[in-house]
Amino acid sequence: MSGPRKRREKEKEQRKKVILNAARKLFFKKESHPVTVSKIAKKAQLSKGAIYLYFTSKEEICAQILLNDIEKLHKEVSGMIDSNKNATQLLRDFSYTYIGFFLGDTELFRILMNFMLNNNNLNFSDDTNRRVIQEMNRAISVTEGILRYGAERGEFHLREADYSAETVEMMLNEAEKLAVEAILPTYDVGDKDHAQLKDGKAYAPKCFHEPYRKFCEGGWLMATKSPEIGGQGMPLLLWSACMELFNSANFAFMMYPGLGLGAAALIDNYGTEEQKNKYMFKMLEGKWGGTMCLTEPGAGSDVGALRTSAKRRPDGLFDIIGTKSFISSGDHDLTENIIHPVLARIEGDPLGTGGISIFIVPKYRVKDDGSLGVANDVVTGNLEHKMGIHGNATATLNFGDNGKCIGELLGPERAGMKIMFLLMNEARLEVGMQGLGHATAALEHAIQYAKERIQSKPVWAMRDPNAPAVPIIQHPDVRRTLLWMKAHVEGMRAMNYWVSYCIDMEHAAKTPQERAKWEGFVELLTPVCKAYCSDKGFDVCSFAIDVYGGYGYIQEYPVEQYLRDCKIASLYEGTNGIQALDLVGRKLGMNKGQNAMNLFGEISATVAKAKTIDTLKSQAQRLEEAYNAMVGLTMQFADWGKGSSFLLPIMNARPYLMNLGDLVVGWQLMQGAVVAEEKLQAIYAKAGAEGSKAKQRALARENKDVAFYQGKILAASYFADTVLPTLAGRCTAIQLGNKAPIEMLEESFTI
Amino acid sequence: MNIVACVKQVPDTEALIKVKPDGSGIDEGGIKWVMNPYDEYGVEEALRLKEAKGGEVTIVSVGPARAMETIRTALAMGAEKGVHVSDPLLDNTDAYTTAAALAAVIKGLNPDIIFCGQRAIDDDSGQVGSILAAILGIPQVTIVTKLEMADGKIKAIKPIEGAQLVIESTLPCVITTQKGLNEPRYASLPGIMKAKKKPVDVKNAAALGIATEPKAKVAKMTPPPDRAPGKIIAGDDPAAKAAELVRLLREEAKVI
Ligand SMILES: Cc1cc2nc3c(=O)[nH]c(=O)nc-3n(C[C@H](O)[C@H](O)[C@H](O)COP(=O)(O)OP(=O)(O)OC[C@H]3O[C@@H](n4cnc5c(N)ncnc54)[C@H](O)[C@@H]3O)c2cc1C
Repeated sequence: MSGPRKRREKEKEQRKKVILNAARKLFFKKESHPVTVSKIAKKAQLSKGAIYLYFTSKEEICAQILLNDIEKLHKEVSGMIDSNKNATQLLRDFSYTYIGFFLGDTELFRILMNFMLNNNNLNFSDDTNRRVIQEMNRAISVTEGILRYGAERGEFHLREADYSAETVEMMLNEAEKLAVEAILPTYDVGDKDHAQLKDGKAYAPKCFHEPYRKFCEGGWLMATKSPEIGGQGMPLLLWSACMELFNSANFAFMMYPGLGLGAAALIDNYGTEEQKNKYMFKMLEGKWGGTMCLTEPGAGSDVGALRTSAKRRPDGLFDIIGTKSFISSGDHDLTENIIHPVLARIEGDPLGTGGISIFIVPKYRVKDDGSLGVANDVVTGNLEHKMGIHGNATATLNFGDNGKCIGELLGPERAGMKIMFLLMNEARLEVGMQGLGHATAALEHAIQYAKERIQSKPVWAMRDPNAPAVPIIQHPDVRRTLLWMKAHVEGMRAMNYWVSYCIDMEHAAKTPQERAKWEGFVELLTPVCKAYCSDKGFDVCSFAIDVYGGYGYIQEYPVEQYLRDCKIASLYEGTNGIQALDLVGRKLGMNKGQNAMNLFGEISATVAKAKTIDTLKSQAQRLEEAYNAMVGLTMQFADWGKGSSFLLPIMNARPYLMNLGDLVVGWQLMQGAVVAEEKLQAIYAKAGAEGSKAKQRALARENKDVAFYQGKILAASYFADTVLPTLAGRCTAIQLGNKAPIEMLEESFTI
Repeated sequence: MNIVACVKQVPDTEALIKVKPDGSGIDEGGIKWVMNPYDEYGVEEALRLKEAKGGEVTIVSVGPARAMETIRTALAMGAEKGVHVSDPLLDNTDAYTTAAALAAVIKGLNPDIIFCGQRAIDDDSGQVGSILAAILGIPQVTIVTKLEMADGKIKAIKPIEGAQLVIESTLPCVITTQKGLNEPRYASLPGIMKAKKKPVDVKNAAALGIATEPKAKVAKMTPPPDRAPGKIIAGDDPAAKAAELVRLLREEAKVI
């Protein structure tokens, strides 16, 4: 290299550094967002043209800004955030790969977007440009909270309690008794009586009172809590199994104790001792309820747009003013008080999620001695009339209309999103469990009905006028529908339970590496559990109606209610669209993509094992092909993320999530089949039924275990042979890269 | 107060019961076992008495090893301790021997009151409580739907056809419990965790010094006969069909 050229190169490097520094400084100066090329230019005291000059392409600018000195960048970010270890770890992890940057890192994403638009690379009209930015800003603001602070999991699940097989069985028995005898009878009654607002007072359905009392008395609210505070330290895996029973019995009911529990967990993790004593214990006894208050009429997916404000009072407390909408279990008469964790902005704090704090706002004020004081000016404006979950009160809450609503800060100021995410992550898994619960119940009803409803001759006896009609479960189409439902329900169950197991393992882990691995699975699969199980759960409920025929549509039969109740699971706790953004934008790239790689590793281990079993070989092949297709699509997303097609992964995030869900379900079913096959062979050997299909079928008629295991294998093989082969096609379809939804003008959407 | 509640483990009411091919009893494979529902009323009443008057509830059960689950369930509901009479010689024994085994245990416990279910839903014999009272030589009130205790006496209500008896008895006595007496509680989670640490004495027949030869034996068990298929009266003339129906009801079914 010649001397002058070398010098030029050096100069160029120098300039780049100046520009990067300028960009970074802007990035950390909150008020200057979004960071634009113009702003960078101003800060670096260079012309806009000069900036482009030193970076040959837009990608390079971004890459440089993002990658050049990422360690340092993150160190600075870490410094900004309070000394929360988990959060910084997450921050460090999330953006090592492009995909993480482009879709997850909101501020960087904004810089990127601005570059893109300034360069006019997308060839949109100005109007559309503006809208794209608006849309993007909405998309990002949701992930912003996660991004900034990370989701922190609490330490309250202690696992020291002894859970023997006998104990587990007894607990499941009691859970089933409570679910079937006390909760289930309220399912349709609660739907018809629904939550009501009369003369300003809100009432849960009357029939909810008794099961609520029994649920609390049974100690279920404290099941997973640490023995130190009077809980049972129940492993989450077992808790999930119990919850499936409760949720199947009546989810609208379960939302009352469920939200109280969630709100109490926030205080447990972030409250002062005083706050715990004042609020938490009464909530854990079920004496007081709880909610989560994020949504406002103008702030749904975009939590950062909220307007509820908090004004400092001389006594260190805050006056809360604002309206929250759609608040589940927001007002009712099951408990004597309700504790609302409310997201609000302290006067003067910055816009966006970074300026949000969280407050404890009781319905009735609590005196120093723990007794109830006057009403706290939290007024229920109305209860929504909904498609389903009628038993649960969805309330509009007006805080401080009369200037008399007082809240106390929970945790540090402006940490509201971080704190609320503790609850939101758990709640997302619970919403996945809701989808599963409805699906389980709908499936059980459908199977029972199909065995009892007599209609039509079987197809092989069509010509015989004397042939009797048969139970509809004998018709191939009904059988196929039922098996589709069964395979999905069992797969979703396995997926949800496995994630609970991962949380248990995370807590039991001995080394940081081990812990990170389990935590990674949970992070990655939380949006999948939420969105996949709610969408597929809804499909299962819909098929249950099909099995019932016209009767399924009639209110005297139970399945239409499952369908109505299930739909909300796709919407709240972050719509499924938002879940998909979380998966593709953040979770995939987390840990340099290691979490996803670990998951793929687990799947390929199961493939290898299943391939050694004769009866599962060909299904294992299907799983492997599906797995390869998903790995391919994931790489493609990463690739797109680096270039001008970066909107494609965002646009296709939801199909991607559903594909991943199918893969995980197929994997979990295969894992179950491997175990079932081992168990069956042992039973066959004992009964002398090896190698004889006829003997094995006969055995299944009299031995429940055999029927159970055979069912597992058939469900897995049906899923592998009918669902998994479509996965490769669906991946290819996405990889074709059709951009019509992005390119189409809004004018063309109207017909 | 020293309170005893006797419990038996029985097949779940929803279990599909199959008789063994040799007719010696039922096939126990795949059956879910539960506490006899009538005994649940006894346990609940025992716990309520204890909560009102103080004292201790002891659970006594005669049964194979699996019966321990049922004892633990009662302990999880809130009883203090248990005695499990477990001996292969006593498996599927008769009412008298069961009562004798219970009596041998209970004598040593010096109870103020003893609860038994009015019958067990598996063999429906309904004798154990009464035989137990006879062996112990104390009064018994059977099929009780309401119980009060005052001044060292009990007052019990027992429904009979078209009326109810109000019966007073001195203590100690045996009460056999009937549906309606109370609503049995569910075992709570803390209850289940605590139950594991509560003491249960396991005893065999020799330790109790009782004879194991049953006085009554099940000679043979057969499933109820399958219901005969219904009969469809063919024909086109409704009047003739009606006449045929009447004839069949009168001559074959002999119901009119
Ligand atoms: C019965 C019920 C109970 C509820 N309970 C509670 C509760 O207890 N507490 C609480 O705080 N809230 C609750 N909610 C509110 C719920 O969480 C919100 O309705 C939900 O987050 C969506 O917000 P939104 O309704 O404003 O829809 P919008 O945000 O307006 O979304 C409309 C559509 O646009 C999509 N969209 C929005 N932004 C983006 C983006 N950036 N990228 C891609 N797509 C996007 C969405 O996916 C959706 O399809 C409840 C709602 C209902 C109906």
